[in-house]
Amino acid sequence: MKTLFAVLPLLVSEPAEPVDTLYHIEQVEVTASLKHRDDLRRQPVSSTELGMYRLQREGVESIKELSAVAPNFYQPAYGSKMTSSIYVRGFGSRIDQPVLGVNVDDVPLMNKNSYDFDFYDIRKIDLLRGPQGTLYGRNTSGGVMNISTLSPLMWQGARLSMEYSSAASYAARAAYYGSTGERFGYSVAASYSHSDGFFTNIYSGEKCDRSDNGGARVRLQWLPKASLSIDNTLSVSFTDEGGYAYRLYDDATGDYSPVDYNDPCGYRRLNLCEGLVIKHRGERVHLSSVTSVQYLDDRMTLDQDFTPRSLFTLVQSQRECAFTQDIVLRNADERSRWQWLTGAFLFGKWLDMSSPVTFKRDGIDDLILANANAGIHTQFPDYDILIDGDDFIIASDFRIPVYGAALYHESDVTLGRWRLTAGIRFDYEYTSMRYDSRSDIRYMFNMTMTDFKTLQTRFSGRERQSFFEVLPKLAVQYSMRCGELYATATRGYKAGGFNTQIFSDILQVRMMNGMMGDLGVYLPGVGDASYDSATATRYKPETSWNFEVGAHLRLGEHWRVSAAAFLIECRNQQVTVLPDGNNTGRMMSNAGRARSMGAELSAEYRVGGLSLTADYGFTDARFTEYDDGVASYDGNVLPYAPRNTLAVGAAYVWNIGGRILDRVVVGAQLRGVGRIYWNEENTLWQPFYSLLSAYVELEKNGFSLSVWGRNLTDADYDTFYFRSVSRSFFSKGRPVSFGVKLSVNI
Amino acid sequence: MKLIKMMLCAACALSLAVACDKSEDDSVLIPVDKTFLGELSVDQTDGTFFRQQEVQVRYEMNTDATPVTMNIYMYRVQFAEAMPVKLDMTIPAVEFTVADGAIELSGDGIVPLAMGGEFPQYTITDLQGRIENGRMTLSMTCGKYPLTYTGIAMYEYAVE
Repeated sequence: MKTLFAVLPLLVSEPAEPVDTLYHIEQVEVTASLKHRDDLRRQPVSSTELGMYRLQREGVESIKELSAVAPNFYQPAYGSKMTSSIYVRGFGSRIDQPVLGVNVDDVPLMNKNSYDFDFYDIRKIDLLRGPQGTLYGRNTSGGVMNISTLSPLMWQGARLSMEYSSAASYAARAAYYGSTGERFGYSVAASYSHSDGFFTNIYSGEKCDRSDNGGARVRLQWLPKASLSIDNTLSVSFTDEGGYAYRLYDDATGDYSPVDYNDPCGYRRLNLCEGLVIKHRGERVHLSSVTSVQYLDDRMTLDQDFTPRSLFTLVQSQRECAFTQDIVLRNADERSRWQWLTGAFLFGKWLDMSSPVTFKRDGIDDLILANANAGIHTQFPDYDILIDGDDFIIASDFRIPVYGAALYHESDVTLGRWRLTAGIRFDYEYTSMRYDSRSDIRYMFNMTMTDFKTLQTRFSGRERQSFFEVLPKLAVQYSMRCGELYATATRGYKAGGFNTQIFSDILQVRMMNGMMGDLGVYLPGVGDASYDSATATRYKPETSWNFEVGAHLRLGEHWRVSAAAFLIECRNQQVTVLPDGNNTGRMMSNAGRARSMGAELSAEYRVGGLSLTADYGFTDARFTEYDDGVASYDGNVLPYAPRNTLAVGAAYVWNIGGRILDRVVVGAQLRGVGRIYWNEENTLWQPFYSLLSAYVELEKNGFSLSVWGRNLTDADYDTFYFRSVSRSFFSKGRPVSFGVKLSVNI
Repeated sequence: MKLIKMMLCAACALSLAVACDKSEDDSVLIPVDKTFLGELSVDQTDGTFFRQQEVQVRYEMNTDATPVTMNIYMYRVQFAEAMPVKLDMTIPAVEFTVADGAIELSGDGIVPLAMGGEFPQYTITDLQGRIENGRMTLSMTCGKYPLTYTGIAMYEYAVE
């Protein structure tokens, strides 16, 4: 511990060359995660590590801005901050369970709706690619992102920044890091940002993607004695934004219409996270405890048809509390040939969700009565079923608790140049869902009825399921003077659960069946029971095996190169299918198998003030078995994930040491992704596109002024595609933008 | 004394016998609600017939009405091959008589109920029917379609 404090001043002061914040110190290592001792680039894992300087200069302010910087990692910017669709090595998800686990200061975020948050004072980000299930458990089949915030025991002072940029966007951040001696540190940080938005909804004439975000973080770090550390972080954030800049696409002509919808869209979120990390460094064993309590309260409002017509809208409100407890034991002797780690993890989540869908007059006519009367007109062409009123609501309420427990162990044995790793995790999870879906409509068949009649439809009950997964890991690594070669086999899984999004479809079917049954009319295929049960909303875990070979090479003083090749076999893939019968809904099912193979290459060159980085990822991810009830997609490329990711960057630090300026930093980066297929049929795609950004930073005595530009070529590209009510929609990427930022570190 | 007791016992036994007989003679066990499963045959009026199997027909007596009538419920009936929908149809207020344990049905000019209301285009004429020994036979003209039905009782709700 004394050694740690002896070398801390090296980290506190400005370094002679602004290399990112990873320093190897002989006896003490500053690590980002309590589960990884070594520098990740000496471990049998494909990883990307980004330090504070690089994150700040390249303007990485959220997880999505790491797209392509980490090979084969992609999070498209569309929708709102609720939309955390993350893809790693071809696999990902738009709804429900994610493929990436995110930990902030060792606290796992338990709801992916929390993933998209504004970064401030981030000291380091490590992204580990490939399944990390053995140490991290559920929803890490694509990887894990470990985010570390600045520690008041590592740096003291005040940090202020103000930024103004395109679309009348501005941001302000302030933080103070203090300590009372060597054993107690505290920090308070706050941020606020606003943007008027880039995209106009021509229906209202207003920007549809305006946003306001704020957050605060209080951190206390205490070292009561040399062997004990207590680290408590309380963070809160709120978001109030529009979003959903979706524009209609004409399938026949390929033309885009501007964003044009009449009902409001928006997202509001309040996040609270309290995390307590206690570490005891015993003589033989190190014991760590990570405890967290998390609270999420959000509300999404959607014009679900995204057109000027009044079809249907959704308001989804969620309130979730979560508790996590992780206990980690590891051997104390870091020089021992046998390094081991054993842990136990518990969690509980309680979600209350309400998601009423309001059918408006156009939707009632187009989506419900058109279908009903199509069948009626076959026999009675001059008469119709009518529904009274301008709208009705299909209300759906859910209560979903999830509980989990896991035991895990990993051992590393070093034999000369060889290092063998074996690990295993036993992971159990139980979840249930109470659901209550209901609607009241007043209908009339104008051939035989003279007045409207009330039809009440209700669908309520309870479902439950449990899962048990075994997640092994095997790795072998060979160390050379210039680096390491490794091979790994790991298993990961995406948790099962309940697809609540189709309950309005289920209730529509029940309502239609109820109406027809009430009338005593039976149409062929209508009323079949296959899509009439909440068991259709259940889906099981998706599992995958990742086989990988790779290398981390240190070529001389200036070069670092990492490369990996991988093969992923996915079973019980969570995909959407059409149920049997004449129904309109889709349900999630474990109906797919897929395979992904690819390669990644990262290179870094540093000499003097010059740093060059290049990161490239290639993925060929395809369905090996997927039939959604309409067509087979065997052999087709998985949609939404890019086949290539590329990031090439250069930065030069010019140490002037003059009266006016201490330092000038210039940098540029080119990031590209594509081709991205937009559908399972592989008939639509986004070609490869690249975004050029650049910055200039002037520094003097802790003050810095930077000017930056992003998408400097004003590339026109799409970030998302979907279909709703038989129409295609795209989300456009942001145009060119410029900004200026003033920062002070004193 | 002994003789008086014997005579009293005989009188009791005779009374019981008379009571049973009386109940058997005076109370008619007619099910007020019964369902049949059978074949519906519809004359297409072009020399062909459309036959539909496993058609359920139920009758239910309106015991509050004077005179007592019955409703006949026909479930998921289809009158022609080309008819794309099946309907539940109710023939209300059908007159009936009971004799020798059989129910005789009759009716004419009855507007059936279907799809939530009266269905005049399927007006029932020349309805004749008989229910006996767990078997129902019906004949009628429903709108323009002469049809017959023969069904076997599925279950009984026998009420005195």
